[in-house]
Amino acid sequence: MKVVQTLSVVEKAVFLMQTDIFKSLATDEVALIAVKATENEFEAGELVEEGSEAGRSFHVVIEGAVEVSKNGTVFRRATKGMYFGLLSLLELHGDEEVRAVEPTHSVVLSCEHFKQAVADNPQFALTMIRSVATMAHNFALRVEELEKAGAGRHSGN
Amino acid sequence: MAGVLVLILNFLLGGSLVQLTVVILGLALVWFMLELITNQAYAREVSSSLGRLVGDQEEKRISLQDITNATEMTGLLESSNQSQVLYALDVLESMDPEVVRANSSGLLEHPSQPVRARTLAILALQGEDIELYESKAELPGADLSGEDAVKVYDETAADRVAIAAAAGRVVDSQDQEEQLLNLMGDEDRDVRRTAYRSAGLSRRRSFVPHLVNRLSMPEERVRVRDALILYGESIVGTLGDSLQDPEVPISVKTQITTVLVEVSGQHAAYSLFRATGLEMDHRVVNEALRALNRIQGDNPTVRIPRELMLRDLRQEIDRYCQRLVQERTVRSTADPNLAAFIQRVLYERAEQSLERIFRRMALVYDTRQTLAALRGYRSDNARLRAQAIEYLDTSLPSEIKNLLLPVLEAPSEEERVQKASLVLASGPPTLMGTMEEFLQSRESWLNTCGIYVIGCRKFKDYGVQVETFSNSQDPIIRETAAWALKQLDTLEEAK
Repeated sequence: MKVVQTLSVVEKAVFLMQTDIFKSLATDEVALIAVKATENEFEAGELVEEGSEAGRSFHVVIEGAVEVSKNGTVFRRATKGMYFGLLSLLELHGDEEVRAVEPTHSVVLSCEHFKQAVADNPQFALTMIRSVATMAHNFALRVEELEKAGAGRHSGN
Repeated sequence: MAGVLVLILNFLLGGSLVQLTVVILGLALVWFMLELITNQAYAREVSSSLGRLVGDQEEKRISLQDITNATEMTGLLESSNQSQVLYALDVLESMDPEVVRANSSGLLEHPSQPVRARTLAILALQGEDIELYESKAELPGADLSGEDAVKVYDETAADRVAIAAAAGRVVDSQDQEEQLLNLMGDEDRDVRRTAYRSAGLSRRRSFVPHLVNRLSMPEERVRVRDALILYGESIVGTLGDSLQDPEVPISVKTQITTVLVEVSGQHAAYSLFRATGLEMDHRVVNEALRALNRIQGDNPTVRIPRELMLRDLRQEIDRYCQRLVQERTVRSTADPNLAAFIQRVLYERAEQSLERIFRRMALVYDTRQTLAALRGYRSDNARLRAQAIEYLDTSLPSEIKNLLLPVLEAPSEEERVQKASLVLASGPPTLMGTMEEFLQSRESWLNTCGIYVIGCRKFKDYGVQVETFSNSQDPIIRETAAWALKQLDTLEEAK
């Protein structure tokens, strides 16, 4: 993992404004978040270490893709404009593995700056809640599908 | 026809010219009174109809009280596990602090010192007299005078909470004041919170700047606000000064507006009104206007100087029209990405300006109905929009109506921009004019956008101006200026 600086504050803000998480915020509010953000680059195949600074941060993918997996099963893929690292930041992680599957460039908010953004910006907090709720809902639907599929196989037997 | 009838009647009755004049004047007076009554009744009907259609969206204070959870939390208070008890105390403090008081006897004898400290802090923050509980908690006498004062930091957090709470009863000397200031900076959250409250109870003005500074800390805000509210009207002038002070961060100013809402009253309203001038940062103006609307909504006797409001309103309408026209002008920029970004900024500013127009009007006209008109105008429902326009048509003075309504009533965006151009005292802005306005604005974000345009389009003629921003206190401006200068240097090197 490398810390880089390729974008100006406004360029970071302009990028973030186009993502789902930040598009409902005012442009100056996004800029106030962007000024505290840094950039990371990961090589293809590189693991985002759970206990590391990067592992405890909130990332938004600028280019590339990362996969979140557990016991070999990939349950989330984050590509351009999507975020990863929220659960680790909130200390809700289990044994998930986060790995860059392509050369990946991300905008990064440290734990402290993420919490500051949530405290200072209720709209951002609301968007994050909505995003996590959607994720939980999608997981629940997936579990339901798998259970039905499993039940179908048992009854077939 | 009516005039002919009057003349015939006068002739038949053999009336003189004087009698005819009196009759005509009488009829004119009756006509005038009837028109006035009808107009007022119509305006009332339009506004109540608008209110019914839009619905009452008065802000409600939401209680998170959940009886089921309170029962579970109460059970946790009996646990010997420190973490469980502290968690339950945190939840119950906001949900149902009465439960804490009811169980204080056991909690103050808990083996865990942090539990005793948290309990004491909650009791103190609820206004309980901590002296009654000191013996139970096995604490020293909470006396800040003499030798005991220097021992504060040798004591446990529970002790320091008790001392901080006691300070609310007596702060008579410089030493005691300093001790309380130290407690406000204590490492323990409960000590700090109790100290804030004691500072508020003491009403000593010397604590106010320290409390205001602490509004910048998100985790401390709620308790610091509560402490400032305890001062009441005695500090509204000082808080109003802070709103105008350019050194005070915006995040602190927005918290100050919340304090002023809670203090409420005419003086708080004047302090807020001072922060609504168009030269102020738009975030502060937005919050100050919202706060004023809330104060007036709760207390209709609070008044704002009408002429001053109308002056600001005329300027705000001008600004709204300027933003509409600028947004259209920017579309013709060659760089579509840059145009999209600047357009978004201008669109936001126009929408915020529109909201401020209605909020300013709400300071002088019926607050609830005017804000209902704002919601109606922004609605997708054509009937609501029409109703909102109708309300404005019946309520506004003709000077304001003639400026604003043609723009709001415009059926299409093109026509809205056209009508807005007519309102502007100066001619329609150009892209360069917009950028220059951004550079000269008092708003740091608009400065940043202007600098960004210069960097993107490599307008080297503005290099000197960009350099002046290199030493700005604002990190966003500073960094963007450095980036823009690099872009201009790159252009020079390429040549």
